[in-house]
Amino acid sequence: MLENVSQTAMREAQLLERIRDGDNTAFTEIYTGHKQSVYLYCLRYLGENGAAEDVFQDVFLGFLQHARNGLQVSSICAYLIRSARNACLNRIRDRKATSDVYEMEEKLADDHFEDDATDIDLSEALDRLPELNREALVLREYAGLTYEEIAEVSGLPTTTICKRIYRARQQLRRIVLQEKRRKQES
Amino acid sequence: MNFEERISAFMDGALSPGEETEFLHILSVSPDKRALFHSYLDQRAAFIADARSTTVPSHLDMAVLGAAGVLGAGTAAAAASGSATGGSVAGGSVAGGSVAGKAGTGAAGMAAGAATSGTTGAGSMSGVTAASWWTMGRMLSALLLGVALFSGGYVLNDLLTPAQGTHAHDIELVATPVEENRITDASTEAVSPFNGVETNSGPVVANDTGTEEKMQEAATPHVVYRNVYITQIDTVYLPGERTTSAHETRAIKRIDTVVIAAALPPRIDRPINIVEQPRSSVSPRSSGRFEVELQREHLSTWPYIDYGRLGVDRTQQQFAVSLGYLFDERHSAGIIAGEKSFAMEYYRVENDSLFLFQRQPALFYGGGFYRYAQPLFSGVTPEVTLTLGGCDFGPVLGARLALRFDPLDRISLLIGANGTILAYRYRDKLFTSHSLGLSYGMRYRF
Repeated sequence: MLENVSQTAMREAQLLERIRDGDNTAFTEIYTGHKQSVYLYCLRYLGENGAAEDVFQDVFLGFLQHARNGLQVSSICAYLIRSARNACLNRIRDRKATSDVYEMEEKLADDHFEDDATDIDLSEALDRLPELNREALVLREYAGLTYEEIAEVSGLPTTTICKRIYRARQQLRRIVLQEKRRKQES
Repeated sequence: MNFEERISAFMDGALSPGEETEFLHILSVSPDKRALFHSYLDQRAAFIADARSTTVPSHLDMAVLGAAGVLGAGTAAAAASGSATGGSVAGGSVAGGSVAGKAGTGAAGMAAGAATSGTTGAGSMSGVTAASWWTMGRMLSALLLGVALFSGGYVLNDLLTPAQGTHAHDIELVATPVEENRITDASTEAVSPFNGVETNSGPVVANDTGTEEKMQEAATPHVVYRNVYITQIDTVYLPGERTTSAHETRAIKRIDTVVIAAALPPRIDRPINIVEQPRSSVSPRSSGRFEVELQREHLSTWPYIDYGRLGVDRTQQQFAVSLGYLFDERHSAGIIAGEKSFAMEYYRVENDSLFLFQRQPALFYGGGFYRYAQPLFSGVTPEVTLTLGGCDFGPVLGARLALRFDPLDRISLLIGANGTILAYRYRDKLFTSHSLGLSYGMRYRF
C-alpha cells in the first residue's frame, strides 16, 4: 500500500517535471486521468452545467500554468479537487448574497435538509442535501478521495469529514425512501 | 458510533480490522441490519451509475487541451471526433487506477468506483458468508486430508508390495539351451513384449570355434521374469524333476502357457528350469480377527483460551476404547468411544455488542473408525486411522497417524499423533474446535 502511494507520488512528480520542461503529453495524461473526477465534482457540487464547465476549465488551465512554473504537490488529484472546490465556493459566493460563506456553510450543515421530495433523480437528491455534507459526499463518491484527502482539501479534521459523509448518506437514503413511499402511495 | 456510521465507515474502508470483523458478525446475525446495509450499497450503486452516465463534454476537452497547446489546429477535428468517445476513454483511464493511486480506496474515481464498489459490496457480503462457512471449510479440508491419506496408503501399497499372484512367490525362469548354444538377439528381443520382464542375459557369443563347453555356459541365457503371474499351473508340462542345493528346480520340456511360450525363440526346443524362490514377504499377523485397543492422549494443544481470566475448569480427559475387525493385514474397521477435551470459543451479538464465551469441557463421544496399516518391515507397522463420530455438541472427525510395534504375538503397542475436529452449533452459527496430541495405546488381538 505504502509502496503504491510512494510510486504514485514519484510518478506524479515526474509528470510535473515533464510539464515544467514543456512536455504537453504529460499534461494530457494528467488531464485524461482526472477530468472525470473534477468534472463530476464540479457538476454535482454546483448543480449547474454552465458553471461547472467554467470551473472545470479554470481548474485545469490554472493547474497547467502553475505546473509550468514549477508547481510541486503531494497529490495532483487532491490539488485539482481543492482548486475546484475553491472555485466552486467562489461561484456560490457570487451567486448568493451571503457575505460570509463560512457562516452560511455552518448553517447549511445542519439545518438545510429538505424533505419535500418529489420526483427526483440522484443529482436532485444531492441538491437537497446540506451543502457541506453534499460536498464531502461528492468528494468521496465522485472524486474518490479518502477521508484524509478530503480533510486536506477542505481543511477540516478527518472525524468531521467522516461524520459529514455519514450524515449525507443517511439523509440521501431518507430522501430516496420518502420518494419511494410517495410513489407507492400515488 | 451507531450502526449507520459503521456502515458508512465500512464502505469507505475506514474501519479497523477488529471493528470490521465485529461489523460483519453483526451483519451476519441481523437481517434488519443487512437490509439497512443493502440500502446503502444501493446508494453507492446509484452513484456509480450516475458517474458512468456522466462524461466530460467533448467541447470541454477541446477547450482545455486547445488552450494548453496540446491540440494544434490540424488535430482539433481529430480530437473532436475522438472526444465523442472521450467518456469511455476517461472512464477507462480512471478505472485503471493509474492516476493518484486511488485503486485501493474503494470508490476512487467514478469508473473505478464502479469496479471497486461492486467489489466492496460483494466482498463485504462474501465476508459475511465466509465468516459462517470458514469453519465448514476447515472440516472439508480435514476430510480431504483423510481421503488423501487413505489414497496415499494404497499408492504406498502398490509401491512397496512385491508382486502378488495366486502364488505368493516370485518365479524365476531359467532357459537352458540344449540343441543350440547360439543365442541370437532375436531370442532376447522376444521377451521385450512383456510388461515387467527383465532380461538378465549373459553375453551373446557365437560359438564357432573351440571351448564349446565354456562358451555354451557363457551363452546360457539367464532370463529372469518378474511379475509374471501363472494363474493356471496345469498348463505347465513337467516331464521330470531334479533338485539343486539352493532351490528346488523342475525341468520341463515345454511350457504351454502363452505368456512364457512367447518368450522363447520358436525354433528352439529346449528345457526350461523353473526355479521357485520363496518370497521375502511380510510375515502374516497372528491369528485373530478382532482387536481391542485402549488409547490415551497427552501433550494436546487446542485453540488458545485464557484460563486465568476465565477461571474455568481445564478438564483434560483424553482416552478412548475401540473394538475393530481386521478384514485383512491392512484394512480394519470398528467402533470407538471415549472422552475428549475441546476448547470452545463462541460468541453472540446482543444489542450490537459482541459477547465472547470460552470453555473447555470434556465430551463423551462415540463413532466408527477405519484403519489402514502398511507393513513395512517386521515388527513395525505405520498405520492411519480415520474416525467419524459425534458427541452432544456435534460431529467429531479425527485422524491418527501412528506406528505399531508388535513385541508379542497378540499384543501391539502404538504411538503417534492424533488430530480431532469438533463442529458445534451455537444459535444457528457453526463453530469448530480442534485438538492435536500425542497418542499412545495398547492393542490386543483375539
